[in-house]
Amino acid sequence: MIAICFAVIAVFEWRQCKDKPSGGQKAFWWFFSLMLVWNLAANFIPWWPNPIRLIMYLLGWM
Amino acid sequence: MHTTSFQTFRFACIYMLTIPLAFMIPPLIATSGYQGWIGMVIGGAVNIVLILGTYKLGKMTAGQSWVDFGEKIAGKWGHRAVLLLLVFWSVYYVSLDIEQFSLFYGTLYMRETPSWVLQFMIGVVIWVTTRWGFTTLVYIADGTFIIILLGIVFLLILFSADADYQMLPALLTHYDSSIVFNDVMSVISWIGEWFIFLFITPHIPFDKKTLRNLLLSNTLVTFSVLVTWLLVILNFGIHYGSQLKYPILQLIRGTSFTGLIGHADPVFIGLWATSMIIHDAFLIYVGVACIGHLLKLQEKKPLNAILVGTATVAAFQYSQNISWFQKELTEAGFISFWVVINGIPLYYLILALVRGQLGRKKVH
Repeated sequence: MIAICFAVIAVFEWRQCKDKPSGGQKAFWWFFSLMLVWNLAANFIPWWPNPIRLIMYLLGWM
Repeated sequence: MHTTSFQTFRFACIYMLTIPLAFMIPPLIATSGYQGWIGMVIGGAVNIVLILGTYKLGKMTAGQSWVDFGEKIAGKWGHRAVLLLLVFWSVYYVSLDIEQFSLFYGTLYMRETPSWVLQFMIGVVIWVTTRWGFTTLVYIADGTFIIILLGIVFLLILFSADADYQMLPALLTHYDSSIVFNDVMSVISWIGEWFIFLFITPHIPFDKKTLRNLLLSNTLVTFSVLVTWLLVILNFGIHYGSQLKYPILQLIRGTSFTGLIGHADPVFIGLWATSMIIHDAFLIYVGVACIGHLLKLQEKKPLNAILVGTATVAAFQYSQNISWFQKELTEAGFISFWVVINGIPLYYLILALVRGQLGRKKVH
C-alpha cells in the first residue's frame, strides 16, 4: 500500500513536469519501475531484504 | 538565495543535533557506562578532522555543485559509485528515523494505531518538506534554531535540579581503556556525517566563515550531547539510564516540577519532530541530487516521492521485527558502515593528494 501510494505521487509529479527530454524519460521510468518492483516486494514479501540486512550481509562479519 | 554567515551554523546545528540527542544516549550508556564522556570528547575532536577535510574539499569545488565536481577527483566511475552509495545511505538513514519516530510516538501516545499509518504520515510530511527545496529548509532551520536552543537550555536547567552530583567522581574512577576505541567509533557513527555539507554548494559558498560555522556547530553539538548524557546518568544512574529508550522524555515526566513544566513533553516533542523533519528532508535532497546526476535528469521533483516511498517501505519492514531492528543498531558491522560513510571527505582528499590536485587553484 505504502509503495503504491508513493508510486502514484511520483507518477503524478512526473506528469506535471514540463521539460521531459526523451533520454530523461527513459531513465526515469527505468528507475521508477525498479524501485516500484523492489518496494512492492518489500511491502508484501516477509523475507525480502531491508537496508539493514543488506548492510549486515556485507559487514556482518565485523 | 540571500545568505548570512550564521545560517550555515544554525542549519548544521539543527541537522546534527536532532538524532543523537534523542537516540544516542542509552546505547552509549549501555556500552561505556561512566566513561562515555571520553568517547564523546575524542569523537568531537575527530569531527574537527572530518570538518577540515570537508572544508578543504568544498573549497576545491569553487562554487560548483559537489555531485558534478567530485568526478574530477575520483574519476567518472569512482564518483558514481560513491553517489550510488550515498543514495542508498540517505534512504536508509531516513528509514531509520521514520521507524524510530513511529516507535517512539506509537508506543507512548498512539498505541492502538498501526505503525504503517504513522510511517506513511511521517513519509508524506518529509516528502512535502523536501519538495520545498533546500533554501526553504535553511529558512525553516533559521526559525526553529533559537526555539530549540532555548528548549535545550531549559531542559538542562530543569534536569540539573534533581541530579545526584555524588556520582560525579565515578566519571574519573571508572576507566577501561579497552572500550575507548569502540566508544569513539560509536560516537563518530552518530555525529560524524559532516561530509553532507558538501551538498550545500552552490547555495552557500565554502569559505572561512563556513568552516568557522561548522566548527562552532560541532562544538555546540558535542557539548549538548555530552551535558545531556551527563544529566541522564546523574538523574538515572548507568543501569536504569541504559534501559530507558527515551531518557529525555522520562526526565521531563519524572521531574519534581509540577504544572506546565512537568507536562511539557508534547511541546518538546513537537520541537524535536520539526528538526527531525528538516534533517530527513535534507537527506532526501542529498539522495535526489545524487540519483538525479546519475540518471542525468533535469526534473528531479518526482524522485523525491520515489526515495521517500522507499524509505517509508523500509521503515515498514523494520516494524515487522522490532526486537531484531533494535538489536542490529548496536552491531559492529552497522557502526562500521556509518564510520566508512563518514570518512568520505578523507578518501577524496587522499585521492586528490595522490593525483596532485591538492593545492591547485583550479582542478581539471
